[in-house]
Amino acid sequence: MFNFRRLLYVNRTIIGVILAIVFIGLITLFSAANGNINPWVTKQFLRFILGVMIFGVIVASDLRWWIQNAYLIYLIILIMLILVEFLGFVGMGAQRWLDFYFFNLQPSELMRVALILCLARHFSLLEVDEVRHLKNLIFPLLLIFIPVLLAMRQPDLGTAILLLSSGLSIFFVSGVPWWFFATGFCAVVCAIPVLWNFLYDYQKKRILIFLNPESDPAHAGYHISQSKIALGSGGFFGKGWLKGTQSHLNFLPEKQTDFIFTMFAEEFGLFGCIIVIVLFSILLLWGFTVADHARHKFSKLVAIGITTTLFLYVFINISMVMGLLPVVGVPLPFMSYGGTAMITLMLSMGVLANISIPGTKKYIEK
Amino acid sequence: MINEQFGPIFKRRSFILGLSKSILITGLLGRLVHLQIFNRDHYRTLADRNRIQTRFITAPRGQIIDNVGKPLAINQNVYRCLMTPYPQLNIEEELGILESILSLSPKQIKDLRDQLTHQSKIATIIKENLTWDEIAALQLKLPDLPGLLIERSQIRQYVYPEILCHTIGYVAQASQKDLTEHNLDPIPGLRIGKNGLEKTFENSLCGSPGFQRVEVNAKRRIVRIIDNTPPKIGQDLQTTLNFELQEKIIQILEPHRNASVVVMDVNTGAIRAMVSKPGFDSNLFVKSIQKDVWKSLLTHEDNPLINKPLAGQYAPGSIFKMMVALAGLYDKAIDRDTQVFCPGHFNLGSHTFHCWTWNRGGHGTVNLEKAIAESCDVYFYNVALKIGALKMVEMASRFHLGQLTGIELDGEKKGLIPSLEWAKFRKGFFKQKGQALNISIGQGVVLCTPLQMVRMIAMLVNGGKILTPYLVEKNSHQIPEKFVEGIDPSWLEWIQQAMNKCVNDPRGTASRANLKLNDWTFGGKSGSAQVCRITMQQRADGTYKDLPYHLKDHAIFVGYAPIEKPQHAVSVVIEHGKSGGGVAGPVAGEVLNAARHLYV
Repeated sequence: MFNFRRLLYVNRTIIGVILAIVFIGLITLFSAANGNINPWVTKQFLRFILGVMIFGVIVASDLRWWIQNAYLIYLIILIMLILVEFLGFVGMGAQRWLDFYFFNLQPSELMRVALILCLARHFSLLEVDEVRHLKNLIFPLLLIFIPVLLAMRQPDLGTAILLLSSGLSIFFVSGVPWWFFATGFCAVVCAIPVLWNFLYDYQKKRILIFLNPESDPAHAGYHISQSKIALGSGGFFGKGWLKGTQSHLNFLPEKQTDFIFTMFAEEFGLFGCIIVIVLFSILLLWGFTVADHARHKFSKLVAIGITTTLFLYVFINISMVMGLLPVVGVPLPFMSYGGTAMITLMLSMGVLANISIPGTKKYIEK
Repeated sequence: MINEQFGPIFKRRSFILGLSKSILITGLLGRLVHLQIFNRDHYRTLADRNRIQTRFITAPRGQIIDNVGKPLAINQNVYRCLMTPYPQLNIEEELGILESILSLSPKQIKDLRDQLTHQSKIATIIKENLTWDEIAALQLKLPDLPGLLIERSQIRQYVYPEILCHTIGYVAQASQKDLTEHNLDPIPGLRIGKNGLEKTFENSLCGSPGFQRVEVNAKRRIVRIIDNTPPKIGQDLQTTLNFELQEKIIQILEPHRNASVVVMDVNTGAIRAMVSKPGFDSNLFVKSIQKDVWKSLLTHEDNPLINKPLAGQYAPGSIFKMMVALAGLYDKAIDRDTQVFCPGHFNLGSHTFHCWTWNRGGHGTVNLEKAIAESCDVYFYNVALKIGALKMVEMASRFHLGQLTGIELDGEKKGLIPSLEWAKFRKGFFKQKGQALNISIGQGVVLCTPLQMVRMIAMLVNGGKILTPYLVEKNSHQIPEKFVEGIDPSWLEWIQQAMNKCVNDPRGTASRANLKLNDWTFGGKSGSAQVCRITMQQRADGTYKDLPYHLKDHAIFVGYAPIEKPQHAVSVVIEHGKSGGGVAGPVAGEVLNAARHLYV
């Protein structure tokens, strides 16, 4: 079922872009450790290598296998997600991690890929007219809401939002009528007061702080105000590599994970930020092109789902560190330190690359 | 396979999706430009405010040394811990940790909490004088105490606090009022001179503080020093005081409760010793003094905080007779050989003025020398009647009695020598004969400070050269020599001989003070200042001798030595010591004897 010759057809530019982003991520981690490859660079690099292997395996694999096993994968990851409730330990204030030997596995990250595969499969089998019927939307809604609710319980607001948004993007491009989204939006607005009560205190606080960051700059708003200071003080060319004061003097919290963009922006300035955003934009554009060129409905939907997920990662993370969105704990793709995110992203990119290769058609069309 | 219905919908919808994503990404770029280009300076300032702290470094105070270079006020190295407030500081949590390590009292905790909440910029001193155990415990807990800094500092230490407290004075923490009044930098733990030489010479002693700009991390630990302006050490101050003499005087005064002794160089006016008894521990003020201790010092009946040589005002008693004698000579009312008979009392109208020898039948026939040596009141009553009060007080004024001496210390009192100006509001004062008689024996309204007394005696034995007492050598300019006007040097010689007899003649009032050394002796004049009037009744039954402490006369003695070529003058006031010749005299003798071995 594996055909490693397919690897030769992967778009070279895209490989270059991914390598560039990973490289930028590694030098930023090097700086975050005050000019040291430990504790982050080495580990992150090894994870990337693992990611590259997974990427290769996915590209070489037969997409039909993924279509056939989409629900099974979803189920396995759902079980892992439920296990987290019982086996996962508390880390970073959230039970997101499942302890594996090499790294801590975060099943909710993997769920993002699984969810996209399931939804794509579901909608690829529906005719456009069938999509307009609510009864056909109940199953995919369940597919979305089960992991979303589990993620919120953990509590991991960022993942919940990502799952929901990327899921809905597949609804959208599948041709689900506008009234569905309008109704859903109204329902959410009405449900906000109810949902509010389900949120944890720290989540409520973060949202309140987001709405009015100056209300408590000393304590709860500390992350955001320090992040803005770091970003803004970077200027156009930045303070120089290894010379960011906010990050090196530890005023910037979580600089190796959620706030790595800030760390980078302080040292490389607007100039560096534009480069990073352009690199991500190339990836996104490529994703759309892949979706556009794909011959099969399933491939198109998966490509859109993956591209949207990537976009949401980038957008939410950067908005969050700039104070445009509440701090919800979404990493920056390929740059933030973290095992599962790297693996999941490389896996997603593998799927995209797999779809992009001409001739995929012949595997899918029996 | 893609059917024809789905194709266009997908294309349209994914285009909408892609477009909205591009708009959002453009929005991000816009925000980045807003933050990093338009608000760059604002955030740079904030970033610098985060990381850069300016620290003041207290300048070590100049030392105060005595005339042979013995250190009297020095600086002691101490370790202290400071807390620099910053917005994220969890005051309660850190105070909790500090409370257990440094065993702070609830009141201290309360004060610290107030200071930390209200002072946003200046570091607050948590504790000074940390012990090694405390430093070790703090170091261990340092990760939990962001904002805390342990540093070495210097605080003033008085080597002999009780012996020199009044002249050297003390430093204490500068209050908010001091800071604004003197325009000082708000340096944590800054102490300024509050009293004595420390206050007068504050400007040269204090030096100037250093500055350090340091880079700190989020835990407010110093990462590196950006720039450093070291403090300028204050200038050392050499006083004219001699520590050994000062210490000796304290020993000599051991039996007396309230006393003041001043030793002056008769040629220059340099003060060699100045003792006020009782004293206090001036080191108490350096570390902030506790309220109850301060209160007990303030309300103590012996006034330990008062520098008696300057601020104690006493009736000069019989030592004033030298002024009367000079006034008489000046007015030609008497000469060296004028004789007066003393029966022990003197009648003015219906009132009887007693000579102190009233119960022995008086001095008999006395001339000027005997009148001074044996302190005959009747002789001076006669002079007073002839010349009147005004002439006497004028002579006293020429010897600068009743005037500020201008010594470099705060709190000096003027005393009181009546003048025409003063008498304006007291009609007929100078016409009252009774007042004149009282003044002639140094009683009544006249008041002098011990410092004025010592200057008077110094000027009597140095040939009339006018002196300004000083504690710090001024080498900048030499003050031209000036002499008291209209005084014949021979008069001063006569008076000096009389003072010699006062001590060295068996009939002299201070003969008990004679140390009976073969090669050295001193001269002087005793006095006693009545604290209350002796009634006829007390005189009759002799109970005036057993008055309670606070009603007993002050014992006064002014002296000089050596006889041949006077070098040192001394004034001794023993409050409620009763006898000038018997109590103050011996003290003066011992002091002068100690002073003659001085290295000057």
